[in-house]
Amino acid sequence: MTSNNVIEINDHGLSKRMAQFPKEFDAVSNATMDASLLILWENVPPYPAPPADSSYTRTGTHGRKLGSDVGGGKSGGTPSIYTKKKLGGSFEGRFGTNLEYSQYVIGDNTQAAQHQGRWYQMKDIAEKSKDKIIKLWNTAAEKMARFLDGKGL
Amino acid sequence: MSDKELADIVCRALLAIAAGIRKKYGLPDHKNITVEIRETDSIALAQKEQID
Repeated sequence: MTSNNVIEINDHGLSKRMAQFPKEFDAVSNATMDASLLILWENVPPYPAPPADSSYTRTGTHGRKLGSDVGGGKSGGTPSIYTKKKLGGSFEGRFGTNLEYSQYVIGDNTQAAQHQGRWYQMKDIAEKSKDKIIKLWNTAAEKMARFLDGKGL
Repeated sequence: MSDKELADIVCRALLAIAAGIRKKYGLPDHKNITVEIRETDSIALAQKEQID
């Protein structure tokens, strides 16, 4: 089971129009998905400040599984969920964490009470990234439209 | 045993208990927390949350 935020990009039929040019379609879509995943990664927020009375020593595991350190952003290794794949004529990318307890820390509907209002939620990363990602795909669509008009990639 | 090691054991035990309760009552587990980007030609630009 997975708790997901989904950002859907409408390509307005371009994938069908590009069906005769799979190599070019895949090249543009792959590059755009790479850039989109990178935006999500860069928008991982920093850890919140610990409670004033906390004596817990942070391990950094939660951030590490998202490819980030306590300062947030793209500051660690590859996130534990960081994939892209082609599904028929469309592309899908996934960014996130498979850490067992992350659902209680940053899950949208599963965040534990003590973390609410302190820790960010996964949907915050999606919301912060959404407009930039849509802009990237709009640029990709314009690129493919120009290609279909015979102007090259 | 240090406090940190003890805390780790307690946290693991709590997770196991939570998993057991979820299983007993058929509650969904949400181990993977993700954002998905789907490029499609059928649905208007939208962001939605779903459980699958």
